[in-house]
Amino acid sequence: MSFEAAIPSQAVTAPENRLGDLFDRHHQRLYRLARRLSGSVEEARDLVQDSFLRAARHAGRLPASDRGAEAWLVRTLINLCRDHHRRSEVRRRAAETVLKVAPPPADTESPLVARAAVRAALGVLDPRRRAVVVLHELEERPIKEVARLLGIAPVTARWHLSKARRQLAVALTTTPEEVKP
Amino acid sequence: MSHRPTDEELRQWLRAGDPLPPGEELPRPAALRMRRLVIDAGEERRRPAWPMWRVAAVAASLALALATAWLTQTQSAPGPDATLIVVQTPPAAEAAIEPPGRQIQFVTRGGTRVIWTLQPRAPSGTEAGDNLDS
Repeated sequence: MSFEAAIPSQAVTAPENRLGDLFDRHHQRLYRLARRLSGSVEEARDLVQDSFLRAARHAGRLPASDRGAEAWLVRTLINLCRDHHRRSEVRRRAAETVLKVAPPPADTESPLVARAAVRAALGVLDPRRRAVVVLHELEERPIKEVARLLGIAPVTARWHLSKARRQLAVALTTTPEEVKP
Repeated sequence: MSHRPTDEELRQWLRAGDPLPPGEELPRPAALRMRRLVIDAGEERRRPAWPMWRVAAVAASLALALATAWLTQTQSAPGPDATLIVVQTPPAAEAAIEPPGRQIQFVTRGGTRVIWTLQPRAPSGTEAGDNLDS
């Protein structure tokens, strides 16, 4: 049963219920992005909820088109992520952890370790740069699409990607001292 | 890894350690709760903070209060009948009035005190005290 079928039909089909339509179309996509940006289930849920609540409170600012509204939601989510990033010490701890993380093992039998390493490395990146990496490398979106979602020029998106790759390469090539799960 | 990884190696490493486990999604019950919260927030925003009936009631109360205050003020102001005072010319003032007369004092609605000083006046060709009927 699809998600839309679980909702009263008038909530999906009523043209004036734009918020509901936006939520139905984009909540999973936003959750996947939030999950990769934050690395935590609880934080990802909070980010998604807060993004849609902002859309509800500032409905007048939402672009009329669905693509525009999606980009607005993505940018809102990244801004919320940035606010959280500034408030918390995650960045500091991630910076300390990444120097001690081992490069990914050759086999695939330790996904937890690999996930922890990637999460730690991504945690060092600025939220916008992290978003560029996640959208391009993990969600396989073209750079033009990434730029459109983030509201930046494609050349800026490429620049962020290039800087992020360099930072991640440092994380990979640093001599490990210990492995943290 | 001792050499600097290529972009492709980096990509493979990121995908191998994707923070999002395969197949993970926002669970349906959580999504439905979240959806309800968002819709309610939107409806609350559209609802006016003060319904029209409340605005009308406040305006009417204010008008009534102002009218009552105005009426109370005007009714408490002294009228001419209530404050009509007829006094004899005080002895000290007799020297200023020739011949001595009477004063009528009253206060208008606006609070102005009016003092009329009545002086008997001899008709032309007569003197004060003449019997005019003769």
